[in-house]
Amino acid sequence: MVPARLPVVVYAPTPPTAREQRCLDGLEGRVLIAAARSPEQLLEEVSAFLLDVKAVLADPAAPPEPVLAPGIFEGKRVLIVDDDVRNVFALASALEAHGMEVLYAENGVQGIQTLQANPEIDVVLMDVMMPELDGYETMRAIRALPEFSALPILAVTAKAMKEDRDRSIAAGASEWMTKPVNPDELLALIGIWLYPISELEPQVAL
Amino acid sequence: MNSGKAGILIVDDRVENLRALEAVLEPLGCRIVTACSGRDALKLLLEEQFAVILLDVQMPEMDGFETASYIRDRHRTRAIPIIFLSAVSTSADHVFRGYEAGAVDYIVKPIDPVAIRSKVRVFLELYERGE
Repeated sequence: MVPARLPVVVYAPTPPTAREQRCLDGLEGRVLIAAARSPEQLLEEVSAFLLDVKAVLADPAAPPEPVLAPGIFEGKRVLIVDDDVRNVFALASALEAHGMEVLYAENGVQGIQTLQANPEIDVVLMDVMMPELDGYETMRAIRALPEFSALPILAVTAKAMKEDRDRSIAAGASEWMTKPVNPDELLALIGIWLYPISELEPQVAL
Repeated sequence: MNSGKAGILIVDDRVENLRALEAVLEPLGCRIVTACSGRDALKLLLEEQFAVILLDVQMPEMDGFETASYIRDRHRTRAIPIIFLSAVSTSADHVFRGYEAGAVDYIVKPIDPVAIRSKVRVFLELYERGE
């Protein structure tokens, strides 16, 4: 059951089957069906969609409502691995404002230790440019642990070079972003990864 | 959020200053946590709340003003009272900068132990009453 006011993004990189198309037809107008070929394109489409949702929901008489359904981040735990805590402090405010708990590790080794000590962590934000055990190595090490094979890991790279992106995905990142991280974009991506499509599949009565 | 006993965070790049302040504040009987850099202070602030922060202004890398601006920019730490500690005389400009950065007080070293104990005690009590 999809709550009425929760924006839904269906990511469909390959053409849908007939059955899938019937499900999607039922959702037309309430969801964005994204067929983006790249993360940046996906982010663009989602951001535009969320702005549209905001415009539709806007009603001068009603009190302002948050774009994303309130509470969807409440209590969620995010681990940020970054060798410079100043980057983390700035983001923490935005994430905590939505009720998220922020855990911090300043290097890859501590990141893995923190993850193992806190297995209920919902998403990881991984800086790839760290001295010693870099982000790529750390992600590989995390993915090698079966309990974390499905954990959303968002890699943060310094530049939008194709090699960095490919390297991140190859190392096990679910998604990547470039520095400096925009808090609103980060929240949008976390939202997408916390609520995977499979959990939002409509119940089709046959 | 204000769970557990009130704690004091002392930030100074010189270990001897940290030890001296710890000794001065020990009679207050509360938890005292020390950090020898602005970055270490920020790491601690991600993990726990404090009733008051004693923050040295003159520190290498990141000075007290810059540290305070990060602390103030984060909702959860915005309201923690910050007492600046400075070895520089209280020129109006410096003090003004301190208050702009969110300080509730600005103390020049060498510090009067009795004065700083009473100032800190006030904030500990406010914190505990605020729960």
